[in-house]
Amino acid sequence: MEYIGYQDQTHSSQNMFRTILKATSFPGSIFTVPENLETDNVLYSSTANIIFTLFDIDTKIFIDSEKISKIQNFITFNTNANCIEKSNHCDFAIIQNKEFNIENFNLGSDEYPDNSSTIIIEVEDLVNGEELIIEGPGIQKTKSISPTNLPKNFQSQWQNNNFIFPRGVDLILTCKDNFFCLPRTSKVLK
Amino acid sequence: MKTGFNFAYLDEATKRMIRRKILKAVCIPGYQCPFGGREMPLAYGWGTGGIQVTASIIGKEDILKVIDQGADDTTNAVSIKNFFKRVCNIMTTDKTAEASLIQTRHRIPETTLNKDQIIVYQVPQPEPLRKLEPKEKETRKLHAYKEYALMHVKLYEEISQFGSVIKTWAYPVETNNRYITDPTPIPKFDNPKMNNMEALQLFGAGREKRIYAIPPYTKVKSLDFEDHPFEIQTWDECCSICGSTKSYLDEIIINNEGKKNFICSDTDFCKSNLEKNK
Repeated sequence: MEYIGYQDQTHSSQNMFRTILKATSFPGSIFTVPENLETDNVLYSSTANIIFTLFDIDTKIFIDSEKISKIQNFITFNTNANCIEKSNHCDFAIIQNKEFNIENFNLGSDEYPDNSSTIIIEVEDLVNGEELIIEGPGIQKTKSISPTNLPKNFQSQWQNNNFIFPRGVDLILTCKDNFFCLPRTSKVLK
Repeated sequence: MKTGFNFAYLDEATKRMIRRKILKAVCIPGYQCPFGGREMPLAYGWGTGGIQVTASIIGKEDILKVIDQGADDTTNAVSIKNFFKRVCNIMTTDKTAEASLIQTRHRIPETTLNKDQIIVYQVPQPEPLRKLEPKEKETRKLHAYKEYALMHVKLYEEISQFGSVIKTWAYPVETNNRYITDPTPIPKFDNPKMNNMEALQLFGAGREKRIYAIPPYTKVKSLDFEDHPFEIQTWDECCSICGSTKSYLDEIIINNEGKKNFICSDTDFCKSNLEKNK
């Protein structure tokens, strides 16, 4: 495995950032990461790409996984980011467990809603789960998404996340080389 | 390309910080995200915010267009284009349709932008409420509680005094039914183009150290009243070069007697319109 970030940090991270920016601008659309990063099955390649692009010493990371120590080593070794234990203080969270509660994360304040967590959820599949229809900025009319492995009460959790806007969390769902974003403005219709 | 610089001038840590802020700004349309603005090699007021945003997103493959009041060949536009040529060695263009990245000062191109393009605005004052409430602590609260009566009263007072809203540039808009946003000093003629635009719109304010964004397909409404609906500027004249009646026209005085001419403010649009009509 052995990485210290990207080989070509400047251009690889720029390329990946533009992919994340596009995915954030067009919620629910699936994008493929530009580089394949092998991590000995610790993380998906897409998650590793996001880590190399956005994490550094200024970010606080919360991890919820059975492989927590391996992930921690990977993040600290490659990016110098701080892994913390309190989920409500994190800038980014990496979730591999099926059950999580959005309310346990940093939701930001009314004055500074940008001080909130971005949650990266690794799921088994992005297209074969239960279908959800979303609408909001970045979506022309409506968009259908169907990730697997979300908590049973995800819909009500997300409705609450919409309700407390501008506070709230933003999600990135990853699977292998693919990912899509679900910012707080995307509303689940069904 | 000049050596001794990182690609796109900013160091990687700064780019990462700005990138994280840009993502949050896109997630909260119209909200002003504070960021650690860096000192750039040009004075505040010449687009330091826009340059920092552009520098954080630009890549080797990008084709950059820079406009200043619609024109590709004015001082500000030419210097910014040269800056990025020097620190990124990228291609630049004057043609709106060819550009993947457009940095603009005070205009939106007449050509409709598509979903693969990003437009970066240079912002002098990101806070639309600043002239009504000087304290940042207070305006933060007004935005937090969606307390925008001040702005509506200001528009109402203009109508009661002059018969209509007299603001013709930086005309305030409401983004995604939530935040009142400053569209930067673009003429109100351009406001309708922001609504449901296919391209991502990013705004950078260097001196005030704020970034905000409007994602594609987002509702952007110019503030108005039912009995005084929002209207854009119109002209009786047409462009004296290409004859266009649809574009935004600049008024220029051409002799000592004060004779006036009107020409398109968007030079690329004017040029291509002229070729089309030949």
